[in-house]
Amino acid sequence: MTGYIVQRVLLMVPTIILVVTLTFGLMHIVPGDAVLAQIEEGTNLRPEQMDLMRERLGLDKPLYVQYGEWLWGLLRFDAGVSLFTGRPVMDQLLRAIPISVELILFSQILSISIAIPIGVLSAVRQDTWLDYLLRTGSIGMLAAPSFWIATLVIIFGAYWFLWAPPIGYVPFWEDPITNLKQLFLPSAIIGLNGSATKMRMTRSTVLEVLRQDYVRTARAKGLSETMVLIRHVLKNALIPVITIWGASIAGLVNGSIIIENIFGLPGVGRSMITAINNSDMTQLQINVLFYGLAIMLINLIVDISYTWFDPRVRYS
Amino acid sequence: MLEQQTGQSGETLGQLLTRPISRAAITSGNFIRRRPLGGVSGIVILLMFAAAIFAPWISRADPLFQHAGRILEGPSWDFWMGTDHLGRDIYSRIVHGAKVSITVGFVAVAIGTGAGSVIGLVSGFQGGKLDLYVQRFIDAWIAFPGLVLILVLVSMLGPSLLNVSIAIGIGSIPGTSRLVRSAVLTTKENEYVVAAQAIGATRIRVGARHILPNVMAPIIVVSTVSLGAAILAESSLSFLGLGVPPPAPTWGGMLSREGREFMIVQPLLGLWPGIAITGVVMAFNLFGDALRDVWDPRLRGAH
Repeated sequence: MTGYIVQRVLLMVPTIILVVTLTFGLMHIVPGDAVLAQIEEGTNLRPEQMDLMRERLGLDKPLYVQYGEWLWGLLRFDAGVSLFTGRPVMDQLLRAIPISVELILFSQILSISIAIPIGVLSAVRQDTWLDYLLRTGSIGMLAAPSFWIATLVIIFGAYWFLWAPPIGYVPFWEDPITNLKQLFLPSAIIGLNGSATKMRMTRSTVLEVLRQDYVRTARAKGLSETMVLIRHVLKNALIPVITIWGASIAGLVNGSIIIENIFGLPGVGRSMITAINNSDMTQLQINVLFYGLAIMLINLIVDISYTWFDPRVRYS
Repeated sequence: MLEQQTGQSGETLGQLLTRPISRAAITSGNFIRRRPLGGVSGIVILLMFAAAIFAPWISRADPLFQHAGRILEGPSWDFWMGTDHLGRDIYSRIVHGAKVSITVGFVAVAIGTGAGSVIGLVSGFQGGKLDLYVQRFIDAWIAFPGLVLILVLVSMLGPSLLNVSIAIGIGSIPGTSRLVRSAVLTTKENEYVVAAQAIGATRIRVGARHILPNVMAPIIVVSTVSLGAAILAESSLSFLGLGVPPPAPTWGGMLSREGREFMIVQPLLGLWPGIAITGVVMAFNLFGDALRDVWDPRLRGAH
């Protein structure tokens, strides 16, 4: 198992380098001056200020020098200063990360605690009205965009209950109750959207496992149906669900970017959209890199946990 | 005379000409009977196409015209879905919004599925070093969440109908190429491919004549599902204010900040575009699922 982990981590090194390079490439897909023109249009800077901007962005240097400088900066944990606020972009990113992480973690706890019981219920009651209802609901959940659900929650909350989402953000360690209250709705919306796939996956794997010989044996030796479900079925049915979960992380991030913007949570996604609106290249670049590296790290963890859950993979 | 020439099995020219049409009718009839949900989805998709193509005839009102003094109205005979905060006809905006969604969807899928299929085909069929390098590149590409990639591309290229389509298309290349590659890898092992190589067919001929036709089913299924995803991405971009720029009517744009404060006065404003997006995305997903079940049961359970 250690061998597998070492191999998997080593394989990641070239991919990390590629992710860093791709991020740089994406940001330089159009000539830098075109980007500056956008800024100029929006802000009416004087020509000498534009020159200063060009110098600060390093646009007066050839592309490979800019790339080298960026890499060197990253190694020293310095990604430059924001074009908009003038503060280091790494500080801004580090402030935003815990908020996004908390949002996604919370949404996953909610999502799993909804999806797995419902998936099992749907499988145990296969082809009854309840099964059809739950499955239809899950298809709807999958198709309804999270920004629409969020919009509906906000407008009908205001329309019927005179309720509005709180403005600003209170960290968990300052006031846990307020923090959880603030994050509950955004997390629930992201979680519900993602629970549909997990629920459908749980249903189909539970159905498959229920037909296995060892389940018949377990029933034959007189185990209660609940015990069969918990001890034999769930344990074996959840492995594919973990894989699906790993594959759904990128989709979760998409959801979190939009939800952070609707509810005004100052996470990485919100910071990214703000950077785009301000034509803040340096901030945008580091946020994009963060997303790429974070997804890679999560995939690594999912792969490794997969071997831990499924011994067949471990020994092959 | 003509009848004798064409009618090998006693068919007239007329019968011969209508045969493809009646065959298509029988096939789609079978499809609807076997997959009722897929059939309904197909009808929803056709309705959306009709809305996009015949928008000026289906809805006579100009989607941009501001009816003075008739703002934030509920549904009425004049305005079937009511009016927005500028007095524009919402029904007309929904119908014309379909045109934007369909255009972006098709251009994006043409780019994404086209390039993705070529990359997957070449990488999977060629194998070896090329495959290894291409796959590492795809690994890095796929690490960026779709929306992040699309947002960056749009902000770099500038928001316009074409650029939004290009960005969404580029975002879907890696996923498509992965899927096509895995289909190619299994097809490659078939005996008829080995036989074709053994009788000296060129690599290009084997690729085009033997591999490609056998991976067409997954390619068509994935482009159906991609269309739904592209429409969802387009509406997300418009919602964030970074999509096809206003005043063009877009479903996502109708839900965005611009209109949100008025939804408290007229909540229906927030209902229609969402129903349109959800319905269409759901239809493309279900239709894709049904196609997959009928054509390619191997893919069941894959996305």
